[in-house]
Formats: sequence, C-alpha cells, structure tokens
Amino acid sequence: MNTVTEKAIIERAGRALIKAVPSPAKVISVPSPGGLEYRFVVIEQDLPERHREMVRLSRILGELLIPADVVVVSEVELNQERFQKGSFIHDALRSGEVIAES
Amino acid sequence: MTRCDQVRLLPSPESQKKAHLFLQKAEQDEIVLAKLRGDFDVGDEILGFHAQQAVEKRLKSVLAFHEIEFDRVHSIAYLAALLDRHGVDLPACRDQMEELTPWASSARYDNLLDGILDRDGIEGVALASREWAEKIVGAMSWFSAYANAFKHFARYAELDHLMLLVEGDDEGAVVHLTEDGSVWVSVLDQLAAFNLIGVVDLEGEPAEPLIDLGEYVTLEIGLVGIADSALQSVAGRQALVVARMADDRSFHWAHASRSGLTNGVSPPDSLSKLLLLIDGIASEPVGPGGFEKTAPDVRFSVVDGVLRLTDLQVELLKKQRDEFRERFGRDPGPTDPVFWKRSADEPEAMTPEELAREVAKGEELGISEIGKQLAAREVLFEDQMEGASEDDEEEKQSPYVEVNPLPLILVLSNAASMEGDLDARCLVAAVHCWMEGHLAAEGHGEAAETDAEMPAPPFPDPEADGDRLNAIVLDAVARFGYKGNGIDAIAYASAIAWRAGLEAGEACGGCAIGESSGAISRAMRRGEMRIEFFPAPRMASSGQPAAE
Repeated sequence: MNTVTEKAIIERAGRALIKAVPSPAKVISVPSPGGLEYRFVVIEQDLPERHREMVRLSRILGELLIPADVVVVSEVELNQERFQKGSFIHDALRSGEVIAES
Repeated sequence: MTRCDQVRLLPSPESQKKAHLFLQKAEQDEIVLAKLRGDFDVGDEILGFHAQQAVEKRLKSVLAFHEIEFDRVHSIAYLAALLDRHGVDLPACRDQMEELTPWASSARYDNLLDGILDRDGIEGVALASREWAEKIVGAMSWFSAYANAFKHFARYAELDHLMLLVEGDDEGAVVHLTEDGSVWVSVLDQLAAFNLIGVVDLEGEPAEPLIDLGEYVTLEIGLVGIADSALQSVAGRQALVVARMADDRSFHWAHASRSGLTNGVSPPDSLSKLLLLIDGIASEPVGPGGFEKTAPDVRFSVVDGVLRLTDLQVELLKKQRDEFRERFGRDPGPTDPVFWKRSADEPEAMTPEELAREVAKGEELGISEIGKQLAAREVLFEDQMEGASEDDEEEKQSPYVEVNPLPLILVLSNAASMEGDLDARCLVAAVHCWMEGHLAAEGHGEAAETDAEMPAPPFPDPEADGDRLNAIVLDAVARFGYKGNGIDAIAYASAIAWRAGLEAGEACGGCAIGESSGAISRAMRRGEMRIEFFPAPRMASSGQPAAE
C-alpha cells in the first residue's frame, strides 16, 4: 500500500473515531511493530468500561474495513503513564501522531 | 461463468492449505482453552487471548478458503465485516466473537484491559466458530488426523492413486492430498449434487506413521474403512474410494452408503463397467432415508448391504461373460442378464423355468449353490418386475433425479489414462461432464428426445458454449498443471463443466440423448461411443498453451 493511501486510511479512521467518542478526546495513530496493521490510541476523559468501548470502536473501524487495533485509555491513565519509560502509553506518545482531536 | 464464480466453486489447493493451517492452529488454542478454563489460577487475559485467537484464526481460515485478501490484524470486527461484505454468512454469535478482540492485545498494552471474561460463554463461542468454519472449509478432523496414515496405507498397499468421493445431504466436498502428505477438505455448497472429487497425490515420503497399520489391514478392509469413515465424518449420503494398484494398475474400490458397504476389484480394462454396476446398485435414490438397490443385480449378491462375491462366484461370472462374448460378439453391459436365453439373437433374460434348468446343469458342474443363489435372485427380480405398478415403471425409467459421482470417475479414469497433452485431456473430461451435468438437470428430464446430430445437447454447443468450455479448460490447466499426472486439473475441469452442463440442461429444449441411464449415455461413458468436438482448446495470445 502506498503512503498516500495509508495516510488517507489513517485520516478516515481518525475522523470516524473522533466522531464516535464524547468530547474532549484525542486519537493517536501509532506505528505497528511490523507495519502490517493500523494501531490507534483513543484518549477519552471518562472511561467507565474500557473493554466495551474498545469493542465498540473496533466495530466502527471494522465496518469501514480498516484493519486496526484500537486501544482506549483515560486521561488519568495517560497522565500517570506518559512519563514512565517503556510503558505502552509513553511509547505511543513518543512515536505516535495525533490525527484527530475534539 | 466469471472467474469469481469459479473461485467460489473450487479454491486453489494453496488456498485450501492455508485455510486448513489456520484451522489447525485454532484447534491448538481451543485445546488450551479446554484445559485451563476451569483453573481459576489462570487469569482471564490468558484464556481471553486463546479464545480470541481461536476465533480470529477461524475467520482467517474462511477468508483464505474464499480467497479473500485480508490484513494481519487481531480485530474480529474487521475480519467479520470483510466476510460479510463478500456475502459469507457469519455465525449467530458474531457479537460475542467481536467482544473477544481486546483480549488479543492485553499483554501488548501493559494489561491495561479491565474486562471480565465470561468463562462459561467462551466455550460456546469457540465451539460455534469451529462448527461454522469447518462446515465451510470442511477441515474434518478425521481427514487431517489420518492424513499421514493414508499415505502409509497407500505405500503399504502399493497404490499409485487414491480417489475419494463423498456426497453430503446439501453440500459436496473436495478432498485433496497434497505432496507433503497433508489432506485438505473443502465443503462446497455449489457442488452439492456433484459430490466429492477426491484425488490423493501419493508422491513424496510420508512422515513417521502416527498409526501403524502393520499387516493387519488388508487393502479391502482399508478401503472400506476409509469410505465408511468418510461417510460418517461428514454425515454424508454416500462415499466412494477408488484406488489403483501401482504394479498392475488394477482398480480397487469401496463404497459406503447409509444402506451399507460394498467393495470390489476391477482389472484395469473394466473399471468403467464395474463402476456402472456400482452405479446401479448404490445410487438410485429412494427418498430421504438413503439409497437402496431398486433393481437387484445378480452379478453382485448384496446381502445386508455388504457385497459378497466369492471366488466361485467370480469363476461363474467369468464363464458366463466368456459365453456372452462368444455368443454376441461383445462384452456384457450392466443391463444385460447374466443368464440369457440360448435361442435369442439379442441378450434376453431366462425365464424362471429356464433358469432352473440352468441350475440343474450347474449342479453337474459342481457349482450348484452359486447357480441357485444367482437364479434365486434373478427370479426374485423378475417377480418384482411383474408386480410393479405403472408408477414404479415410470419411476424406474425416468432420468436420474440426483447425480451420483460414478460417471465423473469414469470420465476421470478415461481422461487420466488418455494419451495427449493436458489441454486435450481436460477438454474430453469437460465435454463429457458437461453431458453428465445436462442429463442430471430437471429441465432435461422434462424435454423431449430429438434426432439432432452430434455434437448436440446434452453436449455443449461448439458455437455458443465454445468460449466457456475453453475458459474452463485453460483455467484448470493454469491452476493445477500436471500435478498428480494432470488428474487434479481434469477433476477441476470436470467439476466446473458439470455445473455448466447442469445450467444448460435446466433450459433443455430437447436432446439427442434422452436418459442418463440409457444405452447411449452408458456407451458414452464406457468409451464405446465418441463424439468429435473441438480439435484442441484455443491457445493463449502467445500461441502457447496457457499454463504449461
């Protein structure tokens, strides 16, 4: 897949995800280890049921036929982990790119 | 027919292999699940991961089977949506399957997940996904478990070919044994009436035996076992296994149906005839309960559905055959009587009185018991025919309402032993299977017989159907080449052409051949009648045959 297409898919996923979650929120695109799939981290202010929210957002991207992993974290978790080297959130923030924000 | 249609009909061996590998891997995840599900020292993230993996791999298996490209991803929702978009029905538990997605990435994301796994529910989801995938991909555990044993069996029995056919209630299947000794099974809804085409490729060394067949399993028992196991494993209507010996190229076969098992052996020059006889015994449908031999044939004494043919019976039959040849100048066909009137110019069954006299003569020759058995069955047959109602007669004479696999094997057998390049052999097989498909169609049964000159329906029309026929042949050769001495390609071309013939037969406006079981069609199958069709399939634009 060429870069232009990839960028378009990422932007489309960002728009779909940010539209689906309550504001304020951010969507970060994170490079996948093998570069074979898309990975998105969605940051939501309140996150009472992470598992259910991840399933819901995965379905949204699935229906768009976007092959992606979606991880959802709360703002609290973000602030707790963002400076912990080696943590997933730290790495995501360092290597990822915010593609949508509300 | 578009290429897409063909793909749906028969995935390539590579796709089947890939699909089966996913299923095998999913099975491993399910084994872990089954072992650990009740152990509460094992965390939800471990069980959830394996449940998700089992489902993910089964979805990928079906995607591979349908030759749908997919990305490497753990999202069940994406994989399910992809299948949905291609018109593949998903299991009823799709929602529960999709809820497993987050468990795939638990470890990767520092155990951020906070879900609670429904330990009782995952077993049902895993089971449903397995049943769903296996129904589509047909990875019957029976076949994969015995793949290597098949190969050892073939070595032990000194076979050079093994073919297996199964007919399900509402679906057909394809079994393919690849060069590395693995068996792949595919269930194909579209080939429902066509049954199974099984071509076992016996090249390559088998792995260490999982099951030591030793010297306890004879060829006959082995083949009957394979046919019976295949039938049971797919809950099918009938299964047939045909094996060819490496040394003298004689054919051994075993047939299993719901009414019983039969087996036999045929010298290489008479496979067609024997198969036609099995055709008469085993494949006349009598209703949802299964198959029954509606017209008992004295050549095979079928007792409780089991074929019992002793050496003495064989001797007697050989004697009768030799006399038949001498008297009528040809081999007896499957509809010819074993005991015929000495005075008749054409083969005509003896009356009971004449048979009794024959038995008496047989006693003098020391074959009284055999003669009595055969005569008793002939008389029984006559009695049944005398008492048959007009409806029964009509039913007996009607074309097959269902298609059995035997004509296909005849085509395969003939085409496999033909001289010439693969294109030509595929073409012969395709033309004849087109005929079989046409004869099997309901529309054909309703149409009148005509005196049209050959090639005419039920064969393909050279002008109207030529492109389609050539496309079938070229596609078959491109897909399989000379693998398995070309039998794979021939089988594929046969399958697709049969389907095309069926479509043509449904709109039949009159045919040169009236009955599937009639003299002409049987003579065609025996190779006693031939039609000239295309001299050769058209070449690709390069001027070379497309696949070689």
